[in-house]
Amino acid sequence: MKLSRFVRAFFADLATATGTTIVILFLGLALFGPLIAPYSPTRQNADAIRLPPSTTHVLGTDRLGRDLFSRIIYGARDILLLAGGGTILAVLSGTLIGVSVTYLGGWLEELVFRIFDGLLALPALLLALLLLGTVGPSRSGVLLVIVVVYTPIVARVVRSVVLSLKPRGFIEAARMRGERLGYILWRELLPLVAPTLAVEAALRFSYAIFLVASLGFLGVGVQPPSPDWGLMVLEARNEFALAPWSLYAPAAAIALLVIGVNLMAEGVRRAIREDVTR
Amino acid sequence: MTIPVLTVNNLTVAYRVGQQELAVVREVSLAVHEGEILGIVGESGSGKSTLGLAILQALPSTGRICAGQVFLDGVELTGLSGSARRALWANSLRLVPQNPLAALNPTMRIGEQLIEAIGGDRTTATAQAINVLKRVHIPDPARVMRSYPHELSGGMQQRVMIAMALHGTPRLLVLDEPTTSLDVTTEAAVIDLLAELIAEKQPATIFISHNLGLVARLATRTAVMYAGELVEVAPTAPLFDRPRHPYTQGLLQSLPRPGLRYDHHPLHPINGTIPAPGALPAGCVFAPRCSLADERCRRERPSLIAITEHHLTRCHYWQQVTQGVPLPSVAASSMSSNGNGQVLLTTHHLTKTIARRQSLFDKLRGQPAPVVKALAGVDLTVHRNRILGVVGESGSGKTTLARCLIGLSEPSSGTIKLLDIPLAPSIQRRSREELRRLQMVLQNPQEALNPALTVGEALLRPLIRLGRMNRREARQRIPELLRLVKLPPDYIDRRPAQLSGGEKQRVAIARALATMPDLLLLDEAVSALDVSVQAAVLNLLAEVKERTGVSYLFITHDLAVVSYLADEVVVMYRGQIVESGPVQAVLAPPLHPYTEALLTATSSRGVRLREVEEPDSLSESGCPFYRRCPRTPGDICATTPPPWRDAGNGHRIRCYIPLEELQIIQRSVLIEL
Repeated sequence: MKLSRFVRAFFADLATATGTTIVILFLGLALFGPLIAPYSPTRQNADAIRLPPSTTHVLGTDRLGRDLFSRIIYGARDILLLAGGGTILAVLSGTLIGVSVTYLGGWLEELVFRIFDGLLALPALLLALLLLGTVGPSRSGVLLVIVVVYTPIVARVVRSVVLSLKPRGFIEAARMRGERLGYILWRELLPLVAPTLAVEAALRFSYAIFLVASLGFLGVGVQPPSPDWGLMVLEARNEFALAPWSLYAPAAAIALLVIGVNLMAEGVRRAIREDVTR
Repeated sequence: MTIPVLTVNNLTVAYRVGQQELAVVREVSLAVHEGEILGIVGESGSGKSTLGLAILQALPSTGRICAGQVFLDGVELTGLSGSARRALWANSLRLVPQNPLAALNPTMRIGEQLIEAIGGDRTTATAQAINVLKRVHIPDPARVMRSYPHELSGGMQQRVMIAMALHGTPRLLVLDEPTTSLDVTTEAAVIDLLAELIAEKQPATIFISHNLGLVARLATRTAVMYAGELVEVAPTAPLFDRPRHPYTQGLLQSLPRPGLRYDHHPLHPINGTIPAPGALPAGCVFAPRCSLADERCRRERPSLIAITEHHLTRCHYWQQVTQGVPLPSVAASSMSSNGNGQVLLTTHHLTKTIARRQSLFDKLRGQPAPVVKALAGVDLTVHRNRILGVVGESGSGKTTLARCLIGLSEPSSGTIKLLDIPLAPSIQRRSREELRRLQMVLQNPQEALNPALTVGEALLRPLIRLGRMNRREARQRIPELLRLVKLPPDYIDRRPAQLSGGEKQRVAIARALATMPDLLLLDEAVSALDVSVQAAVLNLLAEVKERTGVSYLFITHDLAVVSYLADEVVVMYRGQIVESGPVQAVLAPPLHPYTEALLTATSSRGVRLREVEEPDSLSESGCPFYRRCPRTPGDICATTPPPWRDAGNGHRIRCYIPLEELQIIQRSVLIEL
């Protein structure tokens, strides 16, 4: 696949370009947060409690006088790291299990995918609550939740591709020259799974953002005083009547990022499809 | 002369691809009279199917008639309104498609679909449906009416399609590769039926096919299509005897014919490939591949000229297209004998049973799982530097045999010996040396290469894995391998998507030959290729064998190819070998009745297999062929397996009928043809 052609196809569409811009913007916020943020995200200011948006506090302040804009910026770092890291881990483990177990087949495939079916049968949030209830709420706990919830989904998607590739002549030709398992999985199968995987990863990422925010909102994810967006929504909920802006800011941030990632995912899908049909 | 039923005037059809429109049929004019069968032949990509669809006004939404007209009985069809067109489809225009299962509705019983197609009052339509099914020689019409499409065999499905196409009085019938998905013996019966019904109903018929033999048999006139143009049109017999266009001549010369042998007569493939629509040459479309072409051909597009009243050709130099097929001077091919006769591979009583899925209910009742015998005791011997042909139709077990030999599936019992040493049944247990000695080329070239790897990478691996070379040594060997299969050296960096089907198959052959195997298994390796490409690959195989001393186990359903390429032949039916021996002996009387049916399938007066509804439910004991045998079998055939009879020179036939009797009947059959 030519990278330049891919990039061109990717940016050819306005929606995709918009989505990508949003994601890059949030990435910038996360990376250069300390340089941009006007205040510390956790510093409380008794003189500036529940201030509406103004020139000194762009998005206003919350009930403890913390600057919301700074909290959003630091929160971006948290959510992108957790959702992004979790997605990468889930995609890695899902691919590894999906490719190898499907290729080997037999009772192992049956066993693994029945267990995955069982996991998929539970609502994601219920599973997350169960897990976090066991390991206790923490950042690594949230990562674990994302991996456990999304590995079966990624593995299923990978499996469908591998199943269609397995009976093809080139796989049989590899077996006929006694190739090792690793070569067949890594060199013959993985490059053909990769396009589907890219789309799936982008999609998982957007769901992961949602999941992290949801866990924060339920109070079982990232713990206070961290500037987590979900947590901020939770804290602002009780004083919606007094300071509605403290709810609007994190909610808008979540929505904007999810929309951006979704638009980008759609662009990835389209660019790959165009590349394949060419 | 009467007025033709169908007239096509300067028809040009284009497909929209991305932003542009590409013409795939250009300025085609033709006329078909009542009862006449016009054959349209051409290789894949010639535009013949598109022409058929355009005539029927049934182009897909991306296709468009850009210019020209189609007249049916003087009425112009192009630009008809929806309701007028539907009426026309219902009453006058009929199509028999390539794949009957795709054309039939899987959720409706055959009867319902027929009644719907016939239309009108339900009771009369039902009676009519049963009548047409009888008309297409379906033994039990009432049962077939109640069946769903998937419950019928491919041949039966196509009979139903023909019944649908030929009820009432159609004016125009388009047959689009109607037998391509069928076995040879079934194909023979379906073509017989079509000939009979067309003679009776007298529609104007267009018979689209890539199979020159079938067209020669059925068509009264033949049009040859190339890159969207008609290049030659003539009555069938003169066209085949005295082709007046280099392309027609090239197609005919590509075919393996009786009497030609790989070691004496290389075939004459057409060089190059068909130009893509949108990349057509300026002058004559065939010029880049033509041996007669000169400056004028490259500059000036020839028009379709009439050289006699009925014979048209699109060539500037048609006079130079010599008649017939020049036989090459018999090269002093010494029938190479390095290691000749040494036994390379043997199998002893190889069987493979495949368990069918069993219902849970039957499992709980303790019923034994139903099994299918894919191989039922196969003994065969491959000699060094010889070609063993394995012939049989789908379901004969020939592919299972190859997969068991290579180790991709494990036989249920029996042994395989390579150079007298038993081979492990599973490919994982075989040593690298054993893997090196035995390689295989698979049927479908489209799936043979990994789309993510370049040609170079595909050829590198066997050298490293089995040839024990390092990367650098292996890289140096690759140009040599490409040369062996006649591909230019710059193909090393190409990806499969940039190769044609024939080129892919060459790479697959090069990959299998990379480490000089002793035996190469070829499973229908040329069946998916166009005739001119097939000829080139056959030549290549003959040459590689000569140069490297490799043996082939060549699996095919095509007897012409076997008689050209094989030294010895085994004929398989339902997992058993029914006849074996040297190729000349096997393909001449006495023949096993099954071989006889295969051999005469291409002729209208050939022997036909008996139609049975479920050939699967054969008795375990007797002759596997007995229920379909055209030569009145006796009671003993049903109960006791027939004996091997020796016809001399290693030619053996497995049949109860005395060889002398077979010889006498078959001589008279073959003489009549």
